[in-house]
Amino acid sequence: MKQPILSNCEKLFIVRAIAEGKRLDGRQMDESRVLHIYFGTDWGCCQVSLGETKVLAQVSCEVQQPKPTRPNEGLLFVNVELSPMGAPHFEAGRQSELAVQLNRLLEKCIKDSRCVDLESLCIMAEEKVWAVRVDVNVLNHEGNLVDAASVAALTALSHFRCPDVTITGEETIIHDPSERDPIPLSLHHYPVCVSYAVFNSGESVAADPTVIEERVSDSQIVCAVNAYRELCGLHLGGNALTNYEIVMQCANRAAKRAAEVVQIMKSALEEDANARAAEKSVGFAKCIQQGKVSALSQKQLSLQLDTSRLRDEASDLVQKKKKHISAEEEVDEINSIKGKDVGELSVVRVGRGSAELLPKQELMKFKEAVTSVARVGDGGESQWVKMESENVSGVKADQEEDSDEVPSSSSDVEVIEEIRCKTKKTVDSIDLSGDSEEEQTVVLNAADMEFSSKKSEDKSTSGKNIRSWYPMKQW
Amino acid sequence: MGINVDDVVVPGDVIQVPNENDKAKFILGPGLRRHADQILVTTSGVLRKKASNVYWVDCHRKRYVPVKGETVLGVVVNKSGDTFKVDIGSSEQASLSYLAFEGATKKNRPDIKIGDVVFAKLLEASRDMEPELVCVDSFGKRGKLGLLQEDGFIFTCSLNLIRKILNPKCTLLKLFGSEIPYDVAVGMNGKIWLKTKSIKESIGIGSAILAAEHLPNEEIIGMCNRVINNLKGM
Amino acid sequence: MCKVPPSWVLHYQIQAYKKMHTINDIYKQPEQQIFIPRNNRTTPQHQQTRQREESNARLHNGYSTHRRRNALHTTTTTTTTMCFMKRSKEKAQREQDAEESQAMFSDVITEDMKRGVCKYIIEPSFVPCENLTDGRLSFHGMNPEIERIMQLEQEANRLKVDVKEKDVSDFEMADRYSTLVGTVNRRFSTKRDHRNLQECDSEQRTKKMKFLKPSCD
Repeated sequence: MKQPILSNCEKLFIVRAIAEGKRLDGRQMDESRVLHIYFGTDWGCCQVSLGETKVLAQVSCEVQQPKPTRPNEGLLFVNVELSPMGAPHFEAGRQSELAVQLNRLLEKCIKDSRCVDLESLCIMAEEKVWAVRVDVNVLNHEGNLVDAASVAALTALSHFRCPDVTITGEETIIHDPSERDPIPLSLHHYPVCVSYAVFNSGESVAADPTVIEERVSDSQIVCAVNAYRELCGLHLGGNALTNYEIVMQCANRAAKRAAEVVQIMKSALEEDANARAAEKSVGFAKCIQQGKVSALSQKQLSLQLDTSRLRDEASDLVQKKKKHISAEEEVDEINSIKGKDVGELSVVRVGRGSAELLPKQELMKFKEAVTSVARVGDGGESQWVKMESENVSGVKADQEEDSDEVPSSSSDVEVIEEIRCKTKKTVDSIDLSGDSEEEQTVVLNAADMEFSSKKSEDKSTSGKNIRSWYPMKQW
Repeated sequence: MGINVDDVVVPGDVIQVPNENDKAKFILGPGLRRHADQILVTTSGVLRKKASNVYWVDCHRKRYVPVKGETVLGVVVNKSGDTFKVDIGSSEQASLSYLAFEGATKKNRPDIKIGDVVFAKLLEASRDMEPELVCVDSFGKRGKLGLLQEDGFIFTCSLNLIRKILNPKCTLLKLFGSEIPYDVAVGMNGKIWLKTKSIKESIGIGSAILAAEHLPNEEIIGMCNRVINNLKGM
Repeated sequence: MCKVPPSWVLHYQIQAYKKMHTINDIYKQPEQQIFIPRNNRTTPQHQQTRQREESNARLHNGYSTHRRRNALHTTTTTTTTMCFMKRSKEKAQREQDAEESQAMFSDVITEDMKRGVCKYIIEPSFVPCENLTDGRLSFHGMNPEIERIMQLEQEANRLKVDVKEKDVSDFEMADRYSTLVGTVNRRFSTKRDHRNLQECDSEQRTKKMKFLKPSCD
């Protein structure tokens, strides 16, 4: 099936709307859609949803002979699959232009940036190495596949665990996961793709474009950036850009966005690790949400007004309903029947354009999720002050080493220690600690954290702390 | 166990119609078909009834199946010879003759480009043939059909929503009409074309229409008023 | 007819042939296939056509009877070609056509279809079922042409509603009744009253129609 053509009026409307600084789904020009990461039950399996764009990544590994030119390095393959499930015009089994481009971009971003420590994948030089393969499947295409795919691939890689291997003389034993715990891959840094659509020959730039925006735009810019503002790849598509400043602007913005994305990724990984450690149920069941209300907050609504006032009113309406329900509950209590299924409802605002009505028991769960999704930097800092007041010097010293691993909620010292250790053990790879080769990394890490936490107040001062080859520019 | 009106039905269900009068004829709407002397359900949905003898199944649908006589919105995708190929969201593209416009002759062809949007009526629609569109009625008059202006916006929604907003009981379109000047074309194929004086109004009305899908009629009025206030306030 | 050798002999013969020729060669030289009985020596194509004919006749038995009848008809062709027999010839033709078509569709057409009575009307569209309105609207002068049509439709609808509600409108009824009141009154009034009334009338009338002379004596 061919992709249906865009009508002239759609093109014209989008261009006019973008020129006015408006987008169909009510986002700001530099606002991205909500990013969610869910993990499967397997290691190295994750699903990323960016708005309605959904991508699934699965990492697998096998033992292979290394390349003769690099005898002590493992192999890494990235494969992107576009099936008709994602969009009706994708053809199964045929490498389309888009698939090739996506594949190449991901390779650029993950393989060529050398973020995975390939040397650690070596079992026996010149004979046996691990060949790690990342399969990315597009489940739904609603624009900006590159971002979703890169986040999915990277998260899957950092979630993945390779079976443990022991070498006894000539013999190589690959241990079953039940025998010995598998080992996570070591990642040096986290480069993610951030894409922008350029309209009106460079007059306006939209972040995280939807399908229709991608199709109408003059050109697309994809920047692969890591959390340390290092540019790992750059792709320019569409018409030639006449304005080089746009590239600089986009790179700067992409760096900011990349830091956010990496934070989301880390917290998702941490949450998953905690869930696994606590032997809670993990898997994709989490991504099915229940209890949707408020027609205006439907995620799939392709047209949305940016109307915060409207949303407030909607939440007021729900509040009224809540009162109504609680009144009902009182009646229930009189009859000594506790209406458990009715539950207490409350409104939670999840990002833009969506208020959700949740029963009380779910709310607790939900709040956890929200706090963990929120920037760790913010939460960590406030927690830190509290700790000081309790005068826990030993912990404090530890914390200065890796301030980003502050547990989110606890007052007991022992418990804090425990959690911290646990997270450090299981999520070692995402912890940007000193075992990476570059010594600067640690320094930059702290600077970066500071940047992400205080970015609203003092951009310029934190900007000076950060290593960057291009001049900082105010947006 | 019989099936009553307003019950949920699944394909294969047999519907018993009251059989007291042999002369009375029954009208079977979409989702029902007759097999021998039985009425069978062919889609899953809710059985509806109107005026004692009209039955149909109200189902959720997104894919349009052309039906003769319905008005649809289509995008012109190709010009070939003396016909235009129009994408109406069905499995096959519909054909639209260039003579099927008001005042069109062999010399005087309508000025239509690829990518234009037309509001047309289905003249022919059957399983085995290409659907055929016309932009004139049987008197050769344009009426409400024809080419739509380029400065509008077109978006897609489910077929249910179309039926909901076109139902005489739904006041959504009129409610907006009383407050905001706008021009709208709603195709039975799940496409809506909208033209207003500003981008903001277009997006506002569009979002309100899309949001109406899961709201009961009474709540739609409140939602519309909020959107109108919002549009007027800013 | 030559004697048919036992199958194994045939087999060996063919094996021997295969050593010398390919199978195709054997087919090229039919004279050498002396062991094959004559009635089997028909070409494969011929056999196929014959089989097909037989199976056809078996499939719809109407076919063979029809052929027989055809033969009967050919005997009378000379008479039917005459001018005065034209109509009966047409009739015969029609009958034959009908019979043929019936034979062809006998498995598709059900008894109900033949009777031509169907209780059900199939309506594939939602529009008449749910009384859906026209999807082309315009408000506040965005598209004057559409608005004009909408107004016309609205008026037509209103008229239709009026007509449906009452055969005679209230005003019409009142009008009619008031005139009736007059005529009925007149019937029951005395002559004097009548005259007075007429005078009254005439006085009024004189103002307008001066040229008419008062007819009173």
